[in-house]
Amino acid sequence: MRDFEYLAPRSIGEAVALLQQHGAKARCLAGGTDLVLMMTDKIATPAYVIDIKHIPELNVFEWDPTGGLTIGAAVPFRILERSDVVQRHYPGMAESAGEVGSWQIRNLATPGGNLCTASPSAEIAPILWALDAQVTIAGPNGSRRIPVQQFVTGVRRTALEPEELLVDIRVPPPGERAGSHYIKLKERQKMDIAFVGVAAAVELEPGDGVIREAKIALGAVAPTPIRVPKAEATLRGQRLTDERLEEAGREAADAAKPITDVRASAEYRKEMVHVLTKRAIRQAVAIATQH
Amino acid sequence: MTATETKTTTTNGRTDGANGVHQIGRSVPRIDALDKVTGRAQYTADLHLPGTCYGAFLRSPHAHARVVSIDTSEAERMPGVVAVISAASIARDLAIVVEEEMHAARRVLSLFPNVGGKVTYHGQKIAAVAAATKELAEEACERIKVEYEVLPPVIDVREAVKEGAPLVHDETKPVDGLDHGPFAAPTLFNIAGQNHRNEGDVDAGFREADRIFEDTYVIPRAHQTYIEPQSTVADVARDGSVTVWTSTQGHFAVRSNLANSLRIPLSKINVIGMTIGGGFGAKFGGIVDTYCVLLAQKARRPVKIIYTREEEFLDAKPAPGAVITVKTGVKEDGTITARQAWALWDTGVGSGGCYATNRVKGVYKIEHFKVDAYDVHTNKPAPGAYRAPGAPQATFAGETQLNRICAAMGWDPVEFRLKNMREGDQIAFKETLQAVADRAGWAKRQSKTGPNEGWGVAVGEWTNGAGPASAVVSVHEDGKVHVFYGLMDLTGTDTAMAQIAAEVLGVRYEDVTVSRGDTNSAPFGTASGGSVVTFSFGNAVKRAAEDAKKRLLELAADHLEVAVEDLELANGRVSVKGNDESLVTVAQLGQMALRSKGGPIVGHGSFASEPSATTTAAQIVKVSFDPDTGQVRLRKLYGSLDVGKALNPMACEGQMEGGLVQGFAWGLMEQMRYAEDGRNWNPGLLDYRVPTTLDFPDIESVMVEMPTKNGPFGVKGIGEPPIAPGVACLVSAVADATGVWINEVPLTPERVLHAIKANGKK
Repeated sequence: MRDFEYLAPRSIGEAVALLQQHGAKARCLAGGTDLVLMMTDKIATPAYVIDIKHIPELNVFEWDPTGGLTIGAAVPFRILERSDVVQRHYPGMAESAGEVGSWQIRNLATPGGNLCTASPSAEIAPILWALDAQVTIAGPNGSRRIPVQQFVTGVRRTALEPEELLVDIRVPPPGERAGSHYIKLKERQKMDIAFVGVAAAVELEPGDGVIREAKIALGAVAPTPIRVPKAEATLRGQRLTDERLEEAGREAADAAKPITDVRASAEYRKEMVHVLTKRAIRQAVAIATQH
Repeated sequence: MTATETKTTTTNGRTDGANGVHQIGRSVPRIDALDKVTGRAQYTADLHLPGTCYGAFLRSPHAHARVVSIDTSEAERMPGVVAVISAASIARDLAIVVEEEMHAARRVLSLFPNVGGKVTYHGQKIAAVAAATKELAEEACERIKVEYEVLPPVIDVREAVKEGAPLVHDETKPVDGLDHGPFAAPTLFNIAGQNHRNEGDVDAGFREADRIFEDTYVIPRAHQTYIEPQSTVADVARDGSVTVWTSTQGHFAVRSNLANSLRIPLSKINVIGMTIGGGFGAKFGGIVDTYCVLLAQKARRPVKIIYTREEEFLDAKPAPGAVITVKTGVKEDGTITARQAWALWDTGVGSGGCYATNRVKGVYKIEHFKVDAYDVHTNKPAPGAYRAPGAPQATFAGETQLNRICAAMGWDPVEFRLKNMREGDQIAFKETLQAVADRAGWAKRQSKTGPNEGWGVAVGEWTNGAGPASAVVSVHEDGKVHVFYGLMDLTGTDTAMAQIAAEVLGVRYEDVTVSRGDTNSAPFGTASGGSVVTFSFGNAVKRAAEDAKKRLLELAADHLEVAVEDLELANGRVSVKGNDESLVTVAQLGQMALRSKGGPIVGHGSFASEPSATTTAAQIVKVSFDPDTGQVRLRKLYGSLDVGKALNPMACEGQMEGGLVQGFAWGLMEQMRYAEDGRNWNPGLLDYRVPTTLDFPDIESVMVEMPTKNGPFGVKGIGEPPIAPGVACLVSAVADATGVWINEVPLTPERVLHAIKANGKK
């Protein structure tokens, strides 16, 4: 690891000022579970490491029935995974948070950092895509809020400008009869990387089984997480039948553009998108039906 | 036959015997447990000598290339760089060598490729740098300029043996091939070694058979993935004497390797074996220690090299992969008439593997048996030992095929094995298999099997080696006992040795301490590998303790004024048989000894080599699989092992579970992969998967005790056998569940799904 200067700002203003001053020579540190490895391998060689964990706004973890959930950029996965609110209102998010690394890793690593690393297999991404989350970004001209789908722009690329900082992730409140689920395909039970990740979030019409809204997102099968509007349209306004499910699964597989690498072939990944999309939808609907 | 099954539910209580409290057979905690869990154990990386500099390597980015030029000048000029070594620098340093020494110098000259020579695998060392910091050393390596002429690599052994394949080593001569079998050809290329074995007449045996089965099994290279990477610190004194602190299974082996490869007199090398974080066969030296000493000689300062995990995968000594074809003839009555095996072992730029093909025979009565096996060069690093070297690969082929035969013939795989197993003195093949079958409820398994579930069984065998070992046992004036020797403890053997000394000397295990000497101070001891330790050092320690006991009894006889024969030693005291009043404690005897004619009580014991008896590991697994994703889960696991005598049942159980997990992991997920250009494709733990505890159910272990005559208290070496059956056991269970025999491992979800689908289309 190369030498660097450690900076620990106490406010968003201070952090942005440091980013303005050091620009591309600086990297923000949350849990450090990605950044420190990149620095060890010299993939990242920042001259300044800005620890964002001492900024109050970045440690906010708040639930409000009308505003939804706010997850500060420095809040670790383990908080999400164990939160009653998350387990009740966003079960798919609790699943996905619990799939990251080990307990030790999840006590350090953050969803915010996971988004900023912008790996195609990022655990938290598909469910945030499916839940239509937004992110708050602070910069020299104040803050802006964009849909999470616009935040990740490519493999390890985000919409953040060099002088900008991710402040939080905002997840809208779920509907009355909503359910979500996330499935990660991997070889090991835990401590593994996703070969394919599928998230489904659904909302049912009151009193019956008609799907009012369905959102499906895929991870690790394209340069960025993707939504599958076609499969969503197939389900919207319909009851869940085997035929609909099959169709949605096939449409998701068609939308996936995976690569062949050391972990799996593109063909296998596509096929698994089909299988797991069906499972994720079925489970999300089952959860929604309980409400 | 006195095989007894012991419950493995270990009790920490003691068993009372005629001789008081027995110290063997007790599940005592490891003697080093507290040091390890509190972080006090000293590993090589924990050593910080004043003035230490750090070593790093420049490695080949190509699997196969000619080295056109190497320019180290810029690296050498960097401030903080204290030594740069390469083939050229070594040749320069050896310039004074007289002609007759050139032969001896060849080994040191071959440590790095020469300009004009070749690199033969991705990650091969080109040069090494020592610098004030690790970062600086790495940066200096990056500044070394190397020009390559890239050559086509050969990765698959089946391609490597064919005419026209790239030659890994230009000097390897073609050999005569075979006129039979899967790779029949007039000439074979890239052959590094051969093993031909012929018992009886296989052709006659196959003529007797009612059915003949032939299958080809493919198993990849596996890395031992010890937690602690290869690491060494070396320091060279003004007079040229060398001190090496290292993570090794055998510090005496490291000493002789260094003496031979660097032409340093043995007496000028002292090797200090540090606490080891796992070895499994890969830590006998040569991977970093040689280079570390060369750098220290040049730097005139201590040099430290700690491998990264990536370096482990690129350039250590993993287990060889293999392609093994097995042909077996059986009669309708369930007897095996003949067995034949052909094998190509993927030994990379080295050799060592093909002899293990003989293990395809297993523990069965087979009159006609033939093997034609080859070590084959590929553009990969040389292989090393991995727990029961070659046994998991050969057992995969042999045992999986037996299960396939049973499935095809409608035979029960346990009954078939029991029918065909060999019997003999000091062996318990049948008892061991029966023990695990009973524990698993094998006979009633059908009633416990749901959809997409299946069962597998397999048996592995191993006979422990033996080697020279020696020990010194002292009885101190407080009655405590100390064992001193040159044993590298990998698996808890210090604990077992303390138990042996305690048992012989009638004291408690807790009253025994153990220490390991460096190669300057300790008497010679064989390296810890080949399951030799408890057998060999156990005998040495037992003899040394008996020697000390003799002195104790003589002193007591003198003191109590009775004959030695009338004394008994137990519970920390010597008493007159039948007279509890007349006694003297071991502590008192320890004090008396200091004033006695013979002096302090010190016992010596040495052992060279005696044959042991074969042991068996039998395992049963229940698996389930997901027909949509191909994912396989282990649901129930049972293992049995003939341990000879369990000195410490808890430690035995640890060995049984550890070996079993490594075997199943190789079948389930572990594989070193190489891309088409020959580069290592998964040089890290992200994509070289080892299981976590969540991938395994609880393991039920059953110990069988069939003592061997030459082992201390009947002990057999048990470290290795439990790894042998796992791959075959798993593959057979998945076949039972899916109806498909998948003859290539690991059983990744994709491979399993592909096989199921291909089978469905038939």
